[in-house]
Amino acid sequence: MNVKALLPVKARQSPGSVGQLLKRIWRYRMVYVILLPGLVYFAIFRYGPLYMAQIAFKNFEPLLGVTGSPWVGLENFIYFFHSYYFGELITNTLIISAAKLIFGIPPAIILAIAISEARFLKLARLTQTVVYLPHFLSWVVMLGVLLALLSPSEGLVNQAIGKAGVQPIDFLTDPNWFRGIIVSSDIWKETGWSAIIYLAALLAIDPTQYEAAAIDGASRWRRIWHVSLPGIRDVIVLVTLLRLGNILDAGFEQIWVLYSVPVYSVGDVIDTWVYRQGLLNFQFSLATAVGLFKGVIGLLLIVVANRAAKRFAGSSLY
Amino acid sequence: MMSRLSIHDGEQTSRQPRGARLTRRQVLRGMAASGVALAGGAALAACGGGPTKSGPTKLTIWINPAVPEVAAPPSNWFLYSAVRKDLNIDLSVVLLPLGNDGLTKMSAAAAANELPDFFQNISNSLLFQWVNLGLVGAVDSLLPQMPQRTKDRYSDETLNKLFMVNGKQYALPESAGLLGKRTGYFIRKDWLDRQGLPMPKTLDDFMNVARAFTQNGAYGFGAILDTTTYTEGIGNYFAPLYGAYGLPGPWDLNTPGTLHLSVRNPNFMQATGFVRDLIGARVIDPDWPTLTTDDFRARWKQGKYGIFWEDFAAALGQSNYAPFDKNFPDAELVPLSPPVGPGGRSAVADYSDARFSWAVSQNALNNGKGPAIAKFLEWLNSGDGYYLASFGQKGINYNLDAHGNITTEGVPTPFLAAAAQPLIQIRNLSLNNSPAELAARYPSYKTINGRTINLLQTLQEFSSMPWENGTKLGAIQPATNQADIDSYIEQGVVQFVTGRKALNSSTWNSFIQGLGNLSVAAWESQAAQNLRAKGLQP
Amino acid sequence: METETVSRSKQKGGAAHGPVIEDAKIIKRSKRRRIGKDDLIFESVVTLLLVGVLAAIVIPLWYVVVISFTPYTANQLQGYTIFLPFNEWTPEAYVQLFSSGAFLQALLNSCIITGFGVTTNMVLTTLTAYGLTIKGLPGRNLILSLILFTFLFNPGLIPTYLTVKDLDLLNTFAAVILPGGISVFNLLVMKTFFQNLPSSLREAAIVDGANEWQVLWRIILPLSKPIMLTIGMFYAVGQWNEFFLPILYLNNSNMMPLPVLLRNILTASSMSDYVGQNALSSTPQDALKMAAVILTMLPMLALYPWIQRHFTKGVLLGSVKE
Repeated sequence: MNVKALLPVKARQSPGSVGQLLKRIWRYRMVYVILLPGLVYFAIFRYGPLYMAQIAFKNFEPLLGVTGSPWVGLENFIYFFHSYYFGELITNTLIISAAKLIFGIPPAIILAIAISEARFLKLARLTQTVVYLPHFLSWVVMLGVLLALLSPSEGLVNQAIGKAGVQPIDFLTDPNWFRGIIVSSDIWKETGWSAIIYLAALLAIDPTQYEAAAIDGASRWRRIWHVSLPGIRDVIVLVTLLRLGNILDAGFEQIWVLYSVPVYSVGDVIDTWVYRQGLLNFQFSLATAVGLFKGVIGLLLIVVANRAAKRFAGSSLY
Repeated sequence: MMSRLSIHDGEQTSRQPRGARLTRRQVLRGMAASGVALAGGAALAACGGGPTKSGPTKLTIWINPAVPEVAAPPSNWFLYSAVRKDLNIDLSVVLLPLGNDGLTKMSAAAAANELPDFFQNISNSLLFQWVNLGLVGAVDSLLPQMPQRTKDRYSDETLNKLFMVNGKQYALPESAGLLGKRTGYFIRKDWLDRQGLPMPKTLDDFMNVARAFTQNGAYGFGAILDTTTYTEGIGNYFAPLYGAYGLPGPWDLNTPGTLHLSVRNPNFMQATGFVRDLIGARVIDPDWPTLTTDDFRARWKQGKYGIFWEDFAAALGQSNYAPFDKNFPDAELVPLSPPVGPGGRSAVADYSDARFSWAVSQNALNNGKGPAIAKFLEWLNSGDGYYLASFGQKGINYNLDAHGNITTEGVPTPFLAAAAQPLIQIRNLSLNNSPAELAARYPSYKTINGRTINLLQTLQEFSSMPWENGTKLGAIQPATNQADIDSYIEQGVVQFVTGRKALNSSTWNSFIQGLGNLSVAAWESQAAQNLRAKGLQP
Repeated sequence: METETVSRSKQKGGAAHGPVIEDAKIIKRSKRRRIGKDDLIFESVVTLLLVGVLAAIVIPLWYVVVISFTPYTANQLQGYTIFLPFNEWTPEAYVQLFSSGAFLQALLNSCIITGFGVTTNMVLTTLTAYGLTIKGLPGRNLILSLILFTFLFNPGLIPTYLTVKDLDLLNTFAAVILPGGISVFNLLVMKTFFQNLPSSLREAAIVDGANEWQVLWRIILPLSKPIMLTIGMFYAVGQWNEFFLPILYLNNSNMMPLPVLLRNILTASSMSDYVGQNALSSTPQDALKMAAVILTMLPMLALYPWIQRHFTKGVLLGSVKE
């Protein structure tokens, strides 16, 4: 066996040479074997359901099954677009999601850097252990916590500002505040957890790079800017791109638990609407159609963002 | 002690050993199987389990638990053995999660044509859609096979009509009977006495009393925005206030022959104005739109509310009342009649006579399980089955006194105790709400201060208040854009009551006109049509 | 950071990548002496930040803990419960939870699901992530695109349910574990980490006659401890907290894991039907709920510090990036 042939070879495919292609495939056969379990998983549990997802274009009837149900083309999509609240749903979804993205990623990075740069190791260790805990709380529990803090009648925050002479604020039921509460509570809950990835990435940076920068006279701040951040650039880009792909998921469970009628106008998002309309009316074709629609938008965004990332950040998904 | 490793007896479909990790071979086999299954999915779904000559019939029922937060029945449950012995049925009970989780689980099963043999109807609208899709079986054939039960429970014409489609009946509806009108306003009589106020009778009285009660961190009126009861308004907690204007429910039942939403009636605007004034006077807990029922209950038990909506047993049941009693031994909760409006009307809320209803899957009937189901239901109706399912085992969970009434004297695990709850989780199938039974289920007791709490008397007081009978409304099927209609109306009303939008004739009129954008009129005539199709008068 | 510097320098593999140990010590010393104002500001900002974050996290968490130990107290304003004095704490809620047979069974089920689940997840993800890092693999971009496609297009509840049903997996633990077998997010993160390892390592091994399995097993994996632990923990938490899939796919109550029990407690008393039956003891629902939450969190809590230790020990030396 020609061992050297296993080394990375610049792919130079001579056009139309099936024989050469087969030879290359044979050379990499071990890799295919390694990939096989994962590919089987994707085939069965991802593409299987995607095949079933054709019900988005059908009027699904359980007795007829997926293949037997009648086609209705884009009817489900059009129904969704013509929903009375379509515009509002899209707006709310995008605003909340974008806000979570823009305001959510930097704190996680900053926290990870702070932990890795801390002078007092005990403090860093303690923070690292504690800060991921909120991630484990379900949103149902969080509602209780938020009410304890923000309730207009009894919440600690309103008690405090009441003493300062300000009128109590209905944080959870005032449309002006709701989105802010959604975004900030999400940040509170997830920052510690998201920081884990960046922390792991930071730890993988070669420390000699820091030393080299220090020798060159860089201050701690500049060392972060020039060594830490570029060192985790790949991970940052990856996370951002993936979250962009899911931009139309604004966090169903959180919003479902925390929202209420007074803030539907700013808090009702695509997923909560689909849940009410699709589930409770047994309209699964509609729910599936909306899911596909979200995928299409996400795909567009990732393609565009990927190109931008390649150009400006030098890193991309591929 | 239940052994985790024992395969449960009543299991119906074939399944892999529990906890087995799939090997690659199994996964590949699964791939091949999936290809075959995709082609013949429907055929594979209705697998056997029907009665064989020798073996027992396997029966699976999906039902809401009577008490969700305690355990399910153990695998060595005495009911399972009794059913096997007496009826030759291998029973398997699946407890549905409450609320939307249960709806999702049932809907997913329905979509896969995997509805269980026998299940609780947890949503009329879903049930009717499944009927139209051919997933639900007609129960007409079952009725003659359980004569006593049919005579006792399924003889009410109106209830049966609710579940008729094309002349066939598709569910077994049970009447709420004496428990139909079990909720209403409670008022802190001790606060009234302390302030020297009489019981409020009119809406103005209500407002004044609520104002008087609001002090020291307590609120005169506690409520929540409950959109599970009805969504074309702000829910049952405010229903009596709307009832004062003749509109206690989502539909305006004041003019027989036509069916319109309550919001279209001009009085709705008046009632909304009153609620707005109530909220504006700050006599109501400002958390009302976001509170869950749990938090709400915690708060009245902490003495925060002077008037609040509650179920009679949720308020006065011994274990429910105990923490409140401990905190406020001198408190007195008394039912409050619904306030009388300017037109002299009052009503607590809409009530429906239909309480629980049960359905069977078409697959079960196709597999010949009908007779077994009927036998099981008949067994639960009276005699051994009734006692086993409703109270437990004689001598352990209950006893019969000299008059044949149920009592908990001298039994080690009374059926009212927490430890017994897992054993009687399917009692909603067997309880019949007779006076004797109610006396056993809701016994009177003494508070810390020696005052007697008589639950049945409170129930009687609620039941004799004026209510609107909305049973026939169960026949109404949702509009295709139901979520949007609900959203529009709820948001609109909430904006008016919270004062976000000024309430006057022009804003109200444009709100009503906005209904046109959602084809609400079409839905209203569809609703009337739904009723007529079942022989009910809109 | 200082000890780590030394140990990292010691773990050089392959070509020389930086100053030898003596130089490292010199740097360390000079770093220490050069504590200028700039460093001081930096350190204080960092410390303040961490303290602030700590406070912001701990206070609400403390609230949850306190509630789980709270009896009913008259006129206790909801928010002020946080200041409940210790002598009024009561473990009633925990006792009630533990004495319920359902709790221990659910705990066991959670362990089974998480154990098998994480194993499945890690095997699938690691193999796939490694395979995708091999540049030059024919069809690599195609496979990557196909995988990414599934990330974006989630077919949703019913199609997945139908697939599981067709595989005859309803009411088995497999139905809860397999549909989420690989998280594309975790997969891509792991792939990124593998890619940031120096390719010279793989090349050298292959020249020495190793096949891909051996490269993966003997070279890549030992160097990837942090990422394996991280991703493993991501999966573990996901499996441990999963309540929806068990509700959907499992029928037997004695197969239900802990989160389902918790959810039953959290959502139960919102329905008034049950309260008509004089069911429970007088433990306030809030305390029960929070106690159940804390108990569900505890195993993960116990696990993480152990993992954390392995994070900072023996970190890989990764210098050359492609």
